[in-house]
Amino acid sequence: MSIDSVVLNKIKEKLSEKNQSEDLIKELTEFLKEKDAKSINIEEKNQTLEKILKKIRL
Amino acid sequence: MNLNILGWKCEGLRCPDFNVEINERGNNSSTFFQMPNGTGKTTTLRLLKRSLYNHEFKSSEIEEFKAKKKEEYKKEGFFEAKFAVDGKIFYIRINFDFEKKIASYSSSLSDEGGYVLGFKLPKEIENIIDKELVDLLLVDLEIDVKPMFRDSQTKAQEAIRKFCKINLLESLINDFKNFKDKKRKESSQSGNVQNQINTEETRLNKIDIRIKEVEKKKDQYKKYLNDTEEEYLSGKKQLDDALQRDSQLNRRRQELEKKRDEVKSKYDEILTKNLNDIKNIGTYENNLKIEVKEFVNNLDEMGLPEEEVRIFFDKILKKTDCICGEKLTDDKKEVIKKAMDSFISQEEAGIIGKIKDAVRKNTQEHDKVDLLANSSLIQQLKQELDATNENINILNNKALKDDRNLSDKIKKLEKEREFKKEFLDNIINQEWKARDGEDTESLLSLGEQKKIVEKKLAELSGTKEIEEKVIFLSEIIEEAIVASENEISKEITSECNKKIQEMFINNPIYINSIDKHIVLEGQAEGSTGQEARIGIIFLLTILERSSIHFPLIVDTPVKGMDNAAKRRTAGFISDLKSQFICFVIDADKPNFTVEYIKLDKKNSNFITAFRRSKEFDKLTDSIETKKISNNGQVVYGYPFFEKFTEEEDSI
Repeated sequence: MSIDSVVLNKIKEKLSEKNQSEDLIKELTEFLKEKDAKSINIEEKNQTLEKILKKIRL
Repeated sequence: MNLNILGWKCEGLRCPDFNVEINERGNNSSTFFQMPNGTGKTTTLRLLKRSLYNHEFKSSEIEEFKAKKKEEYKKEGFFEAKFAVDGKIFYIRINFDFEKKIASYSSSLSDEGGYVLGFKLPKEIENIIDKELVDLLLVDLEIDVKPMFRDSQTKAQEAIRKFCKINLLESLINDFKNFKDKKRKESSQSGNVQNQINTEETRLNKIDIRIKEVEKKKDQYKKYLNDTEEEYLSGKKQLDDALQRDSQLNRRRQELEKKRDEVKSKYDEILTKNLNDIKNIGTYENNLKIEVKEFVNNLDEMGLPEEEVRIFFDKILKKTDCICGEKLTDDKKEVIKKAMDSFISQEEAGIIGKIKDAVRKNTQEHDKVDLLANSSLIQQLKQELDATNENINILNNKALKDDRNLSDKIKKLEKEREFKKEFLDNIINQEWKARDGEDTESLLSLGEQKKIVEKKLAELSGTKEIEEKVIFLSEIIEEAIVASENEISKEITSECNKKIQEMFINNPIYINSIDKHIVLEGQAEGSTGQEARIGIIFLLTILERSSIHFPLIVDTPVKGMDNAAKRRTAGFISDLKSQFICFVIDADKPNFTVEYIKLDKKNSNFITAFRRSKEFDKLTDSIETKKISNNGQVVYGYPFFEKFTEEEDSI
């Protein structure tokens, strides 16, 4: 059971529309796939979230 | 990942003691499980469901699983389900103590060996399987499919979210929210600021509690509407039939209903007219008219709004320097004068001018509106409407004299259902208003209030940047959720309609759209049979799409279907890639299992389970592929499955 390709495409599309970097898009979608595949421990999760938030262009 | 059900064993429950091995014949792809009515299909389905998530058994529910026959009653009983995840076997056992009215779980995971107390799934599936998913995969088509078709219900949307993993995006929003909250809590402030933070935190907590309460209520109301639908519709039909039985009364009632509709329309018309008349202040005599006239006269006397503006410009024109600091030459003064005239004329056309004009116009048309005449007509029509309704009630009571209890019950049910529908359709979706408090039942308003408090907290705690970034990202993810749902729904609608075209040769009913629920083309609802057919098509389509290799277990898969639809359902099942188990009764076999066996490439399981009796025991004497308990038998193989009927002496 894996995340539907439409869901991944839509999140990429919306982030790109809001002028976000390819790097951020990659990081976020990788995190989603990881979330889908296994349970991530809280420390690891927070590190990734911090990295993603740093890459956001407001 | 592949999850399969390999079998189940039960003892001391209301169904006979069965020991079922789904893979008895070396495969687990499709299983047709034949059980006569009253042997425990529903009990088995419910316990299989509860074997896949940690369910809290209530004492009243435990009572339902207890053996009903006195000679079969045991103080204790159990249901043990055997599963395999990617070939690795595990067991979940539900232990019942009927004396103490308690139930407990024990689990055995293949790599841990032996039973341990409590509910535990293998780690490969522990984050995937939950009650919502199980409810979608183990279905009674008669009961579980209905919520997919009803407005006020969201089961179709939930299915799409779950199977296509749109929920993962919601969980992502939650991750960011938790991260943001953590950062905020880590940044402690001193003195007054910390006090303000504490106050806002308390408010946030109250809002969160309220949201949970409303969500719980929402689920309860949805369940109520679903649970009472059958009773309400059949009761209403019974009452309609009773009303039409007496043709003379029926004719008289129709006349009265026609009259009531005409009077109601006139009544609505005069109410609207009266409201519009009242809005035209000044066209009728009352205190407000005098006040408004005085207000306009005072404005005129003070020369407002023109005079104020003129004074302002006159003061500028008398100065030698302009307010911008430059010298005011004659040319520039001329430009300002022109601007002043133009400004005043615009102002006259402005709001105050409009009010003054409206008051003058309305007061000149004095006595144009006769509110007294309106009022008397309203009263007259209201009386007429009440009298007609009363007459209809008298006639209905007469026609329903033998169904008084049912009539009262349905009226009560109707009122309750309308109240709950209003809550689900409107109350929880009301827009946020500034005066709303934490006690509102609008989820939209609570969400908005939460955002405001969180923003305030971010400012106070100095985590504004993280807050803004999380809000920004959450909004993008929410847009992606909506866009994904729309696109997937369109694709699933189109895929389902292709299958419907194949399945319903005569009078196909197509899906118009799937929003929160399945909307049918050109009709509000389908019959039970139609909805069951479309429901199974929807579930099969969504299962294929999600490449989910989990079992689909269906009770009564072909109930209400015509022969052609049964044959086509058999065709769909033979193409399924994941495990399929269905419960059938003997009446379901013609055109369904009989057709399936011709298409079967998977060497499927055909199992018959029944309560033991002398006649049935004789029938299975020569059969080796069977499992016998003190009160039940499970027989494997198609020949017996085909011949078995519920009439004990007719096999």
